[in-house]
Amino acid sequence: MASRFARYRDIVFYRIWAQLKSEARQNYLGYLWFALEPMLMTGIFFLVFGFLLDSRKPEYLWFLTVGMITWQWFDAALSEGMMGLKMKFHILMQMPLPKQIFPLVHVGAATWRFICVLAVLLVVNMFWGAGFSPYWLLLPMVLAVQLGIIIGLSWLLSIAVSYFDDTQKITQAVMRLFFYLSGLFFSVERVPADLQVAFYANPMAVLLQSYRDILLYHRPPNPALLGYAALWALGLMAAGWALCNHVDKRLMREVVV
Amino acid sequence: MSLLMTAKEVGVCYRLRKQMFQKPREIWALKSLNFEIFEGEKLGIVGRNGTGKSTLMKLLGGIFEPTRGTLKWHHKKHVQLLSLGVGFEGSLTGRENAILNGMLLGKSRKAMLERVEAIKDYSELGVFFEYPVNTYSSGMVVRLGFSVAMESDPDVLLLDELLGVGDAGFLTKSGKTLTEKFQGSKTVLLISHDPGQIESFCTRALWIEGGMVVADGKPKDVIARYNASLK
Repeated sequence: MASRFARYRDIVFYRIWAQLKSEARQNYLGYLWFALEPMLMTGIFFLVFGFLLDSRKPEYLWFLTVGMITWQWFDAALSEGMMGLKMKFHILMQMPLPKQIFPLVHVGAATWRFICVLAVLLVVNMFWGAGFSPYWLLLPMVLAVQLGIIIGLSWLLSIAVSYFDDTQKITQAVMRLFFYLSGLFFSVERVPADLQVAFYANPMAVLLQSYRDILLYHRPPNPALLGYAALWALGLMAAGWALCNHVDKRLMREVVV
Repeated sequence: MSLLMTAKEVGVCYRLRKQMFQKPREIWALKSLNFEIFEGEKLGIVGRNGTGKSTLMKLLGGIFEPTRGTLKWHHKKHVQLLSLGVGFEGSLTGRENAILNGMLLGKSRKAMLERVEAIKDYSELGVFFEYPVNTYSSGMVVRLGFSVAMESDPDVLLLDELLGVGDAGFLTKSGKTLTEKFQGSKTVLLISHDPGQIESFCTRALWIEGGMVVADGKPKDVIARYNASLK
């Protein structure tokens, strides 16, 4: 059993590496893009919002950038992860592999790209932003919670997409909704007091707030809220894992034709 | 010979994608299949197109379970459908794809790293082994696929219409490698439309028609009955 787990783990990591490598090889600049792309992305944020917004309010610029970049990770990883299974039907028709593998590969590749963006953001923040704080050490915890949510959702949605293509369109619409609901553009203080509970019911709102707490306000994230988001992560992962196992030996005869 | 697998009243139903206001449509590729596989035997499977032969291979290969009936392996075995080049990534090199593919076929990464030179030699791809697979001709892709597939050594090998690949030289070589599988102690299942192949390689034959077993026995007898039915 252990050896089988090790093999599947190796497949996931080797395929993540292979996918990133094959993406890099498509470009003349190759691996440089892992640094260039995030720099361009953050650069554009700063340029556009720096001009558009009141330039006397650099805090809001940072507020926005931290939210945008972490949301981008969520959005990209999920939309690629949920297609991970369907795109590999031709392989799954020939080889009996666990259905969890391919969504994980796509999430993994998107996460690597995000880590590059985050690295650039941290450096910029250290020298030209709010500066370093020991609370940065809490960052991996918040990242782990978000990764868990992404993985759980990708497992669930990749099965749903396999049965119903419509899932993709519905998910895009829901993502758009949460893009506005998760507090990318406004801080929680702007939410009416009686709605704050509803606002934080959304784990993504909790995560965005936690990133800002750590990176911009130099304070620890609210442990109760982060714990609540972690429960979401665990619940989604458990549900996704169970669903993948449930359909494992029937998916390929139920969805291919 | 010990009993390896028993299939009892096995049926497989493919469901067609359902749309709103539409009745669900189903295709029963296998209806009620009863047969056994014994350890070490070479079983040939004949039947017309669309009678469920490939579905049977997928079933045995563990791609899915039957919709009804039971399929039971009596010992835990590594069963593998031989597929060539499935999962190759065009922008990766032959070497990288060999490792990737071998891992999908059940080998550990470490084992593949150890065997990759032998695969390179067997495939005779030379310098192209270090080139992206996108630069390969279709024959070269098949060569690489075959060389990797032969590395993984399953207990039960499932062959769907496949005996030897490549140009004249490689055809002889790959055919020889496959023939060796038939001579060893491994269990091999072969789907073929060439009666001669079944008769010369197999120890037993199964004729499937309309998702059911019509005849099961000595290759010579089964092929004779099958051929008679075609006339």
